Amino acid sequence: MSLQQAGTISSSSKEAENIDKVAAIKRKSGINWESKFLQRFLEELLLILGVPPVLVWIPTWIQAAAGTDLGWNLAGYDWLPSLILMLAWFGLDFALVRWAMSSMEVFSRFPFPNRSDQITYEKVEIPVGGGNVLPGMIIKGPGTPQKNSPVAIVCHGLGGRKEDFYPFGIPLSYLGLALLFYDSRGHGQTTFGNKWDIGFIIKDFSKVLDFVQARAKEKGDLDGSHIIAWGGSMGGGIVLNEAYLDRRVRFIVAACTWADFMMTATRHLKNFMEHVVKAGYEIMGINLNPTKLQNRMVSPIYNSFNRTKGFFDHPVYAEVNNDYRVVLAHDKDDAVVNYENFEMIRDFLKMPRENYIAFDKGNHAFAGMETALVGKMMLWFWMRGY
Amino acid sequence: MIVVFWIALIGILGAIGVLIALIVKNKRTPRWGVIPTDHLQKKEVSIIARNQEKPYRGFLYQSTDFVESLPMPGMIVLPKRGTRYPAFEHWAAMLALQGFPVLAVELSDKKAPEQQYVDAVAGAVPAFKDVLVKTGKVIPSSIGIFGLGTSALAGVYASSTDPDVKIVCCSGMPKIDASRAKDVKGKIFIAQCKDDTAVPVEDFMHNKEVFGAGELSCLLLQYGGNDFIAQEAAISGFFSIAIHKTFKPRYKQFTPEGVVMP
Repeated sequence: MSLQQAGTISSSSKEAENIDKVAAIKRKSGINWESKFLQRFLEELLLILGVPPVLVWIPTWIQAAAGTDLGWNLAGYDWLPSLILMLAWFGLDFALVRWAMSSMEVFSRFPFPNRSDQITYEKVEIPVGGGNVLPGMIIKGPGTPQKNSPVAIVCHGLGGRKEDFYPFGIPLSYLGLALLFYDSRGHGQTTFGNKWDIGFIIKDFSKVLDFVQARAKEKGDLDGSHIIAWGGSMGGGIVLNEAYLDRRVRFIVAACTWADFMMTATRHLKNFMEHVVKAGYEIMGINLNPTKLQNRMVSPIYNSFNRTKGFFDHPVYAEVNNDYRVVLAHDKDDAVVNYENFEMIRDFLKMPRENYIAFDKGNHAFAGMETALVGKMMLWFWMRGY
Repeated sequence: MIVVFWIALIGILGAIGVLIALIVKNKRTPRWGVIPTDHLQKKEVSIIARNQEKPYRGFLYQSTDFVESLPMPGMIVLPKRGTRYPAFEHWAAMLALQGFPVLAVELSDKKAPEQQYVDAVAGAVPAFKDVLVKTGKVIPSSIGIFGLGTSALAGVYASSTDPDVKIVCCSGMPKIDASRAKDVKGKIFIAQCKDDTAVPVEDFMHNKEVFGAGELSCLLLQYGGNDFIAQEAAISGFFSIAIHKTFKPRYKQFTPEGVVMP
């Protein structure tokens, strides 16, 4: 049973996850066992966590087997030093896991849902073909016009769900926009597809545009000719690829996203946390060792920039006013999508300074930078006549 | 051989100690604080207000994207009472990045009775305004105030006697004294969380009535408490739009046809 069928409206990721649990929605696991990186990471982790507690028993075993006294005893017990070291190592393992968990908390720092009686939530289903639908939510604020409202489509990140970006999206509803959040295939409350269907996930965006235009014609509450695309992380990948190519989208806000997927996925990892993050995505089933062809299909600097949809939907070179069309945000300490991606896009598109912002901290979630990002985001809209 | 045991044990316990220290550091790192970006410049100033013994510690913020621009409306941030720098910088940054020169004032006085505190801050607002205007980047007759908690009261009272203050944005503000909030209708915007235990929602309803605030002038959120936890971005958007509609600043325009200067 999907959330749509369950008839419940969630206004945060946490609420949505709880609804999933109640409705017993389980998603297919797809651990990428073929990944050499994941194999090596798990082997090393097992070595670090599990082997030393065994090794500390070697002196005890030698003493017992050889019948000699190596001086490995405490209070007359030769097993006691080994036991103490083993327990201490388990303590170290526990502390290591807790430290990793506390470091990851930066990625989920919205403990309460964004809910107000002044904001309306309307569930929608976006058909993508084959009888499949993407669950969506249209959010309107007190400033959203009843008729012909401009629409911002918000795309979530890899492994995320539509509720993830409510805190960033909802402020735009006060600006007089309607917001359409949706779960990509394999994510959130969708009942088909996989998290690793990145190519399809990107292509689905054109179906979301079709949906907005069809609804605009049918109900008249949305303006099908006035669409903005907003995406974070993989959502940024969606909007910088598919939305950029599609002239139905006026402009694009992309946060913490990639320019070159292969460069991002196969880069030299700087620290332990970056290893943990990469392993986490591969456990999710993502192929982080794409072929050159796969990379071309999802990397905006190869696929979409300075192009538009041409014959057979194939990207063809075109004159694009990038100053108007793209705005960008990133954190320099991003452990998921490294900062070099931001620099590549900024330089590739020769972006004016007003059109981007980079924070030194905040990681992949803009933790603690949310208000500043909203401030800058508002400016981007005002500099485009809103 | 037992020496090896002690060395190993000390090493492991030392590593556990380091990890615990890192966990505590992670847990104690405040969510809000410095906004480190090349797009902001800030300067500390000392502000001496009339009839005040101790100077206020202020911080001037400006977006580096607007250094060459014409004068803009200025904003004064009055953080919650007792909040020390940099715990309010994220509010100042939010406004400064929109092009408004911002003065955020540390209001750390916890000892004075509430009424006395409010009066002192309201009395110091002209001095705060002077500091902003002296930057040469601010239109003197276009000043806005962003106040949190009790400090917002001071902003409202100051605005009722100062025609230069065109807008006051109030978050989690206690019940207003209606007799001191004359001629403020239309320039007050209020936001509140229903589960705020420090300032009950009845105070919000009272203030809403006093200000005659319509649907677009107030925002009542379900959760977030007195600190607007997880609602910071939402109220940032709400107030940003109110400020923008009040001042109607002229920005460089990016259009599909090209850039248009104001």
